[in-house]
Amino acid sequence: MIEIVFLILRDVCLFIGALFVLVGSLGVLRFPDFFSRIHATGITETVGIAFIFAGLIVEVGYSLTSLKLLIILVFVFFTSPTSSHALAKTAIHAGLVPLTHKGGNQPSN
Amino acid sequence: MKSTLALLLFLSIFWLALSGHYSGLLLGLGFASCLWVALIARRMDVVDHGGLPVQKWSLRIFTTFFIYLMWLGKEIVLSSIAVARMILSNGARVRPEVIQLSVEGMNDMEKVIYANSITLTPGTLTVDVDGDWLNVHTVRGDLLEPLKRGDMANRVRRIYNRSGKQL
Repeated sequence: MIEIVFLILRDVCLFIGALFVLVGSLGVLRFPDFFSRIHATGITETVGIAFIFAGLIVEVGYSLTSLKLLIILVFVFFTSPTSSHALAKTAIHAGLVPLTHKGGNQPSN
Repeated sequence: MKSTLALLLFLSIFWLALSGHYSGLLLGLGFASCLWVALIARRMDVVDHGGLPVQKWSLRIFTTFFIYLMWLGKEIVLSSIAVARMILSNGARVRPEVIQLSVEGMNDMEKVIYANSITLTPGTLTVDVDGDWLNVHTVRGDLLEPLKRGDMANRVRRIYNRSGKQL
């Protein structure tokens, strides 16, 4: 009985995670400019990854491997804002101007 | 010295967790490499100024930090759903904005936590840190409302200040 609960929990976690990764990738295609697209990847690298790893941890169970998965998750949560920030800052310093709705420069699809 | 020992302890536990080997030879070799790394870090003078200010650690900071992480997790999920809905709708709701947020009176560690938390939350992104100001880019203005009200900033300040300690 308890195994079925774990199976369902795993599948639900993996499904939600995959859904968020899919939506994030879709956002990279649909959002209008570079900076907005970074926000779309933000979904993938936070909620998407968290749910997928939660599902994997349920699948692996109580072992050293699940601890390693947890450590990878923590590292991703440390490195992903750093890389997003580095990308955005580089773009700003390279002269890319963020699109804003106030400048009459309407985002187009 | 305390920081070096803490680093050594942390590295050893980390090595144990990752390797899964418990024979004498491998334990000895693993500990030797941890010791080597800790000594190099100490000699490079990166131990005491880095992210491990052990002499300020207390159970209270761990508790408040843990509570903060729980709250941040909730915020991340909520704004992820908001951004996901924007992506799945026709895209007309995308209203990028860049604003400046004041981080006056925060120490370096708090600025790091604050700026990283902003970036980690989908929909908001710290583009630049300029003294006491953060340049924050957002994909839609109303996602910034909690930040403008200072909810997150106050919670970051509370991690350390409730215990009366400054980093």
